[in-house]
Order: sequence, then C-alpha cells, then structure tokens
Amino acid sequence: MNKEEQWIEDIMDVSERVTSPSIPAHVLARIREIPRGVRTTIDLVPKRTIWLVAASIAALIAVNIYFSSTSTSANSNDTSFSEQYFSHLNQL
Amino acid sequence: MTEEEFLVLAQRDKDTAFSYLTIAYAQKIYGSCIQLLRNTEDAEDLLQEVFVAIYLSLDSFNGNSKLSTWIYAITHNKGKEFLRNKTRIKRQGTLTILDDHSEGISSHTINFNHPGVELEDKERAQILFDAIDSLAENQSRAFRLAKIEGYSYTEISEMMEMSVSSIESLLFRANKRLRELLGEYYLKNKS
Repeated sequence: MNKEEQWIEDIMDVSERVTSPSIPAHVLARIREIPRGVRTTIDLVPKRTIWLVAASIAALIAVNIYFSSTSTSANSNDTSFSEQYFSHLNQL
Repeated sequence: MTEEEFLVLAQRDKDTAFSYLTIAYAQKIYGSCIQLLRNTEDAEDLLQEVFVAIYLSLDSFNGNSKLSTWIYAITHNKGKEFLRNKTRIKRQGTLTILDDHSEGISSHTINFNHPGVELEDKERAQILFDAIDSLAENQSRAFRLAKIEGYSYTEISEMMEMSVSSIESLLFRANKRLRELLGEYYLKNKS
C-alpha cells in the first residue's frame, strides 16, 4: 500500500470512530415543551378576532353576491326591453 | 407500541403521542442532526425545528408509510432547508466562501465542532465529511446513514424508499467515488 492509499484508508477509518453524543437534558426538556409553545402561539390571536375576521369575509362575500345578482337581473331587464323594442320595430 | 396503536393514539391524544415520539426518536434524530451539521448549536436548533414540524403535522400522519420513514423524511427535508438557509446567510455575510460547488472536495461545513469526533481525528473527520458532502445527494445520504449513523441496509431502504439491493449498489458507488475524491484531494494538498 503506497502513501496515498494509506492516507485514504486513514481518512475512511475515521467513520468507524465517529459517535453520536447523547441528547442534552435541557434540549430534551425544550423539545417536550413544544406542544405548550405551539398552543401559546395559536392562542396569541384571540378567538374573538378570528370570528370577527371570518364574519367580515362572509359579509364581503354576501355583498358581492347580492350586487352581482342585482346587476345580472338588471342586464336581463335591459335585454327584455331591447327585445320588446326591436320586435315592435319589426311589427312596424 | 405498534404503528396501529400509535395511529389511534395520535388521533385521540396528540400531546401523548408527541410525548411518545420524543422518548422513542429524539436521540436518533439528534444523532442525525449532529452528523448532518457537525455542530452542537445548529443540531439543537434543527432538532427543535424537526419536532415542531412533527407536532404540527401529526394530524396528517395516516399510517401509509412507516412511522420511522415519515419522521426521517421530515428530518431530511428540514435538514436540507436548514443547510440552504445557513449557506445563504454565509454567502450574504462574508466573501470568504469555501463552498464553490466546483469538482472535488469543497468545504461545506460552516463551523466544524462535532462532539462525537475525538480531537486527534478532527482534521481527518472534517476532510471525510466534506468529501461525503461532495457526493451525489443519494450517495451522501446512504453513506452517512450506513457508515456514520450505523443504520442497517433494511432500515436505510425503508427510509429512502428504495430496495436493499439499490442501497447496496448506491453504497458501492459512494465508496468508490469517495476514494476518488480523497485521492484527488491528496494529490492537490498532501503530495
């Protein structure tokens, strides 16, 4: 085995000596606190605010639907008027 | 606890299921984080990110894959994301960029402080880890899992969703490429 091959073997052998250290107790404690931390973050937005936002969105959608249906019926009225007008003209 | 029992528990009591996961998997995931980042502080941060992701997506675990595969996939994705962010910060923060994505071994380790490496092995370990990072992604993952983290071929095949024979050939190619990379490094720096 030449010098280069020996060096490569030495480097490859390191993989057999690398260990995985134990998880520190404080890190494990922090991990176990995650559910509480996540719930606190969620609770930062009060339920009242969430309902208010939901109600506002619902109201906005309702208003949009109302006005779009009104505009559709107005259009259909226009159409029927024009139909009547042209049929009257045809009769003349 | 069997996978079916865990699934029932996760649907009924998320916090208890999470507590079970911390007992069963925290050490293994911490080991993976250390081997990926080679730095205690970063590994602790990544471990926390992984467990937050696990807790938030516990509802979506439906038992289609093995629990260990699911957890490993989250760890792998979070690890990649962590490294990407870290590399971006490094690129923005300094001009002494070591990672140039050129051919051969390039230093990917931002701050090599591996607690599982003896002091006399530190320099050699850094070269080895940098060489592992220079492999193709699949080869690098398979090599790390088999040779550094000590998983069996069967476990790796489940984690990477490949057959055992594919893992064997992946490791054969990884080993060969690693030796080529180290040979090139030797000629460039040591001869």
